[in-house]
Amino acid sequence: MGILLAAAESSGDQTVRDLLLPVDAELIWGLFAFTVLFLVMRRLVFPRMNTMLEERRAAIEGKMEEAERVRVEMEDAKRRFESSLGDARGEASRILDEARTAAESQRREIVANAESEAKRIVERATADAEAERARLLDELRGQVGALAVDLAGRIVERELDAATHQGLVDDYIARLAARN
Amino acid sequence: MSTAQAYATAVRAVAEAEDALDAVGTELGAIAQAVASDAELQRALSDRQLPVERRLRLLDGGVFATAHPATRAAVAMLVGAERIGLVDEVATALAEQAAAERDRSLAEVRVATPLTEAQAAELRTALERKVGTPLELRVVVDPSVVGGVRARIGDTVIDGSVARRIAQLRTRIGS
Repeated sequence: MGILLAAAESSGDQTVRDLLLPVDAELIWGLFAFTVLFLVMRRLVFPRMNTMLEERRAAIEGKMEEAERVRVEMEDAKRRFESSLGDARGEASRILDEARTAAESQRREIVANAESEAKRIVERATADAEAERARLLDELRGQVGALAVDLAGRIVERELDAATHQGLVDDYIARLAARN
Repeated sequence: MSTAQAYATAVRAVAEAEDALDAVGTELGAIAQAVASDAELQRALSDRQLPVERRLRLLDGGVFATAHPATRAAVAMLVGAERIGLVDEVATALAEQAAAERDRSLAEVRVATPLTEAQAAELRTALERKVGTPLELRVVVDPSVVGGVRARIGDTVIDGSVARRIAQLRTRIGS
């Protein structure tokens, strides 16, 4: 508008100037209406707008506080979870160690038992074999002895002539008489 | 009383009735030896498939053929009663009963070969001194004694046989 006024002044044209500037009455009524509108708005609209804005701000602040509280809770939960995880890892490690120790102990026990059992079986088998060997030796000795005696008996039976028979009878009678 | 003793009592009654106790005793002893030394004869005499008469004919070749009728009757009784296996025990029991009747004990003497009369007399004297009672000898030739003498008087056995020595040797080697 300043440019237009300046252009109008520079051209000296009063009509243009009148076209651009409002008339006084219009200016007064405009000012009055604006004032009335401003007063009405300050009285009726601005308080509501302020209230709405205040509520909105409070709501946002509340949500922010809620979000902060949730964040803190999440942080706390995370901390607790990490702590639990650490504990769980420690517990798992301890259980694993215990299981390894128990397994090793059990393995040693099984190996020791197996070795002991194997030793016992070997000892028993050795004893059985020794007993069987002794039994067979005894049996063989008996059989050889019986065979030898049978053979000796047959030889004696065959070799005994009449004179020897008579001699044996005479010897029997002599010994019987000597013992009386 | 054992079965053999019961049969011996029956045979003795018959023999005494016939007044032939000594003969029956001697003949029965000889038949017992013949049966005991011949397993085939013993088996045939015990064969129930054969009639008794046919079984008795198997004995005709030995003492039985010329034996006293009382001896033959005794053997026939044992064969008929399927007791011929007891003939040796019956002969011994008969000899024991005959000896007891004469107040003597029986000495059953088993030898591998027959004794001479002198040996039998010496043996009887030695045994009588040993047991302190008068004895009658029943000599049985038994090859199982191998050699020497095995004498039994009642429950007493005086064993000087080679068979006993072999048995002792077998026992010693076996243990």
